[in-house]
Amino acid sequence: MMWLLSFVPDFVYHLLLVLSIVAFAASYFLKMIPFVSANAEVVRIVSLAVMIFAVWMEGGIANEAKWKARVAELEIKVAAAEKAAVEANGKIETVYVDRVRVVKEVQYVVQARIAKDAARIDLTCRVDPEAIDILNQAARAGDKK
Amino acid sequence: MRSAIIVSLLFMTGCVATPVNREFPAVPGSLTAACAALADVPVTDKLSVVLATVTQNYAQYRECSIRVDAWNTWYNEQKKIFDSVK
Repeated sequence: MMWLLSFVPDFVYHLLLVLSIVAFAASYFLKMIPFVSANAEVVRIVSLAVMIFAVWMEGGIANEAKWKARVAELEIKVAAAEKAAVEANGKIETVYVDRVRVVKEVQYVVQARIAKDAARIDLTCRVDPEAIDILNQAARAGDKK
Repeated sequence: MRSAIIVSLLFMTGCVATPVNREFPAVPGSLTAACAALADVPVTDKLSVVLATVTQNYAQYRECSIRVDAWNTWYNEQKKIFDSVK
């Protein structure tokens, strides 16, 4: 029934409620009017049914308004969260790029030191092929086959 | 009178949809790159060559570790932001 709210303006239900209350009261108090006194029972039943319908639709209108307000509030929060998410992305990426840059810089310095001191390092130490095999085996541990 | 009330009750159904669509943000591409395999030491008897490969692998590990850290930070931050909307 709530789909009716999309097609019929709210004031129609307010009007229906007022008219049904007036008609219901009239069926009791305006018996001097010939039409009302002759059809009092019918007027009472119809006005009561319309009153129930109108009251229920009034509840629907109030509920709809409440949900629309909730949706609007959520949309504002979602927009703020999306903005915060983009800002967080930027900050995290910046920190990541900076840290990786430091690693690369240090690696460059280390490689330069090795190149500079290679002759001295190699002078007193010869590496056994077995040592290289052990190192490579350790480096490949857990690799995908 | 009774039937009017029953018919009125039968119409008392309704539903409410809240059309607020949300998507968890996409992770930056730089954080999803796979870690490269460690380099093998070439067959040599020179310690400097071994040292160069080992330090290169250290750097590679550090880079990968930083990426995992960043990924975890990214997820925790984004989840906190996502869950804050209620």
